[in-house]
Amino acid sequence: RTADRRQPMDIEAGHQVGTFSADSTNTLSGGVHITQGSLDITSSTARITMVDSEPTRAVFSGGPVVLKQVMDDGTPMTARANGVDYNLRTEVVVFTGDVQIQQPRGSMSGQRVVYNLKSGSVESGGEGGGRVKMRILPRNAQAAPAAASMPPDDKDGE
Amino acid sequence: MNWRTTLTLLLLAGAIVSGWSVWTHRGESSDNRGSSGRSDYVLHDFELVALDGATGKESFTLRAPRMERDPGDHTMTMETPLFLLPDSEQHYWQVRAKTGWVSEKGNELRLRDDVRVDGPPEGRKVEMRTQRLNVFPNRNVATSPVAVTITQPGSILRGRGLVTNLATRHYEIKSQVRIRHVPPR
Repeated sequence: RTADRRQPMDIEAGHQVGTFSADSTNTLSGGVHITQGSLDITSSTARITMVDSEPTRAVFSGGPVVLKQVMDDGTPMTARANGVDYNLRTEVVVFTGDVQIQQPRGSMSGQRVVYNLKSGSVESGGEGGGRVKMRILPRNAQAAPAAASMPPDDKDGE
Repeated sequence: MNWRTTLTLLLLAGAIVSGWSVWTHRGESSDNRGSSGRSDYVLHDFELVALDGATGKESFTLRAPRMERDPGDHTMTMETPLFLLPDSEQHYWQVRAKTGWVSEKGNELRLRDDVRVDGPPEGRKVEMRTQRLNVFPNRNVATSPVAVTITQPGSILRGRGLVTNLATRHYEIKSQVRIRHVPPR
């Protein structure tokens, strides 16, 4: 949710390296768990860029990275990927590597997905991003839990 | 061999053993006399400026109400010390604790109990709290093997095991990292 950004952000990790300065990059490892409002991210490592003491960008990797968030319309979104690059200012998230996104209205998988959490717009594939698979559920089926997760994506595409 | 001879031999053996014992331990007491708790000098309400032997630059400044020096190993112990540690711009980190210890060469400081570290007022506000801190002034390094809490504008960081460079302001938390960041209103 957009309101999430005004909530406290809690970060847990096994190890951290950083700098005592307003502009810094903090590297977290040893298993990272971040929560902020409805946002919940787990990964192996994370690199958080601070500008003027504010987290502006978070790059997650390994794991896979699992990102859960409730959208502004109240629907839940769960995403899995090998890498997640989250611009906390623009709310644009770039998922890369075995990406799977689950929402009540359907699911999507591919190698690269750019998701604007504020507007809800999604751009996927491109730049050698491999084939994209999308499954949109009919409205009456949307009430049921999202379809079973997509079959593993075959990189060559059909 | 009647009982008198046996008794004489036993007493003779006892005398030899105790004599040998006194002989072998003759040197120890003189070594320990120094650290028998008696200091060779005591300072009251003092300020000490330690200089780096190699560069001649200020290593640290120490203020305390009372300090004792141990003649045995030439270390110094003090109550409620305030250490002022210069960073690369000659701004001072302030480090306080219940007790302090300074090595003979002044290249290691040990602070124990209610250790408070406050960053230079000129720079970004940084506060550290822990129960043990070891400082190596000539390398600008401070370490703690135990729990630490670090407060900066907008965030509180807790963890276990700290290594920080007071000149470059880099730090590392070894385990159990917990950060709470609160966005500005």
